[in-house]
Amino acid sequence: MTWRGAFLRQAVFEGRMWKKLNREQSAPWARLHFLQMLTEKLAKGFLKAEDSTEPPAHTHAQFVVFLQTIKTNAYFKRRLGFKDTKTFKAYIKSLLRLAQKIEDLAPSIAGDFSPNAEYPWFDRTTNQIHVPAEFLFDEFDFKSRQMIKLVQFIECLLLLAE
Amino acid sequence: MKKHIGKQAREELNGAHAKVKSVEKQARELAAEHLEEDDEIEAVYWFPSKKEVRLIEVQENVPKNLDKAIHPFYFGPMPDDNHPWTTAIRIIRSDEFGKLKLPKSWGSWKSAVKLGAAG
Repeated sequence: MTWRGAFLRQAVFEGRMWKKLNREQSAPWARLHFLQMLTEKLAKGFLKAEDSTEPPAHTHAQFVVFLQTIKTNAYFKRRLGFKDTKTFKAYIKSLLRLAQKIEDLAPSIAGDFSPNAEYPWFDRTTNQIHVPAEFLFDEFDFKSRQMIKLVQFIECLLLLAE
Repeated sequence: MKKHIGKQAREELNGAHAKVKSVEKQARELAAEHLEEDDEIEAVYWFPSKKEVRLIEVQENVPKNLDKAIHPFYFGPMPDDNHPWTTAIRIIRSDEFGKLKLPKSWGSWKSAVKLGAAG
């Protein structure tokens, strides 16, 4: 198996787990944790050439790079059913803000002082240590149109990855 | 002959009726919220159910549904927002309306009720 295939395969499994958590209305941290992980794997997989023998870079910041990359990519435009580049670019652009917020949830990006969905962190403004599993992640509104749009896009990518 | 029903049965009936109304109310509120939030939505349709809110939103610039089936995105009840019902929602293109396979319990496309449209 190639690195590309392996990362996409892992993303598909994490995607199934995410769907299960979402269907069961699991706590925000669990859903966000899987969303962050699976988008990272999808990006790393799709960004790798089919015949590459090098593993992807050890960085968690890949999903937004991937979105920026596919804005002008004919394969993704066609497979996702877009006819013109301008519309496709505008659509991808509309996902970037929330995609960035999800990417920023990776512990190595969030650091010790910002919310992430995996490790406790220290909030400098309140001088409190927070536990992800008990944190509400209020800024992520699962019923917002942005979230619904992004999730649908991710589901399309998962279908392409299968 | 006039049919008498007990207090409990009457309350259950009223409760069921209230629930149906409440599902519709939540559906209408969400439709209005999304239409206001995103001016690219062309229309919002509701599939009546007593169990959950089921919405289809029509918008042109979204990916086509690759497997020709509706796989709704679910989000749970949000009592704080006065949304007591689970919501199932999917965004589709206008040329997919009436063509995609609906989830089993949703019935047919004919049961879709238009809740709102752009403009």
